[in-house]
Amino acid sequence: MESRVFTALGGECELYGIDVGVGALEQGEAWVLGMHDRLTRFETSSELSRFNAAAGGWTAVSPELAALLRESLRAFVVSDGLVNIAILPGLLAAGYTRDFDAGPTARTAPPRIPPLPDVLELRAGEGRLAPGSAIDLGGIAKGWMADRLAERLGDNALVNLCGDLYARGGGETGEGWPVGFGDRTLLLKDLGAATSGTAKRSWEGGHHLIDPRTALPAKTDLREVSVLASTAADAEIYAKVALLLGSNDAPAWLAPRSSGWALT
Amino acid sequence: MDRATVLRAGAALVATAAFVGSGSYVVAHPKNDAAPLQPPAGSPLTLRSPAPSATPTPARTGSATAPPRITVAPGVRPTELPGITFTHVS
Repeated sequence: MESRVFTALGGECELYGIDVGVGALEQGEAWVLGMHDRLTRFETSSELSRFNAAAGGWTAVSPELAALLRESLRAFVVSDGLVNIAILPGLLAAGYTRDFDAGPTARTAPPRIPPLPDVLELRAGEGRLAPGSAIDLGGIAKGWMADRLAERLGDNALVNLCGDLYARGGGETGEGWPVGFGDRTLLLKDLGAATSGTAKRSWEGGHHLIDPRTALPAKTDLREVSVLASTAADAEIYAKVALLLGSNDAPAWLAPRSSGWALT
Repeated sequence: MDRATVLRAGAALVATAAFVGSGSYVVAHPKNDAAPLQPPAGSPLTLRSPAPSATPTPARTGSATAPPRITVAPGVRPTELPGITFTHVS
């Protein structure tokens, strides 16, 4: 088994592959780093920042950003509106205006978060945000990228991008990749997993998970939710929804969609 | 006695003294499981917070005091193997 560990997307990324050349993993790392540069909101020169800055007019978007914007619209529908990348103004109002290590800034009044389909339009090679809107791709990008990269690495590979992961194929034994999930280890085969939580990237009076219904840091009785799904992208969506719904409603919402969940 | 014999006798004496001495030391110092650690491991004075890291290591999911409530579909099997990675909050 070949493996590669590196830092990108605000955390640790791990690539594993059976019968995968080191060169393929290096290319995978380069792709992740390139996407990081493209999608970070903390660099004014990134494609995401330029897209946000151009709100109000049609802007050329790369195929990768276009795919992520389509995925974000799908996530909005799948999550009944609870996963909404247009929460960026709420995140900024909560004080998360710069790289987390630099600390929060002063809070301001929460804005209204509009439904994503109301503020994001796509057409061939171009996208348009409504004036005053801004997006943060956050976990959507990590899950989507884990799915894409695992596919690129071949039939037996595992990609973990800062906790959002996809296990493709059966791993070394053929029975599944051993992956820590909650307080146990599960064998994952052709499954995605993701975790959403409020404890990390939190500060006094706030955290990074904005509830689009209130534009405020989510109030939930769950500290952390991990979810299994058929893709990492879906796992990311489901984990976020479950966290926002809370412990009473999350199991019923997850039951018809997820292969497993851990609520803390 | 010639010089070689004296040297041989001296070497034998040193070896014997080392053998007897080390054996006596071991016999005189049996392992005592009840012996306190020095310095005391439980002393508050010896407890230190870990140094901050520039690249924080992600905590494993479910590592909090309250254990997670886990539901898993029958098709997903647990294993005793150590996980090669884990899902966590980013």
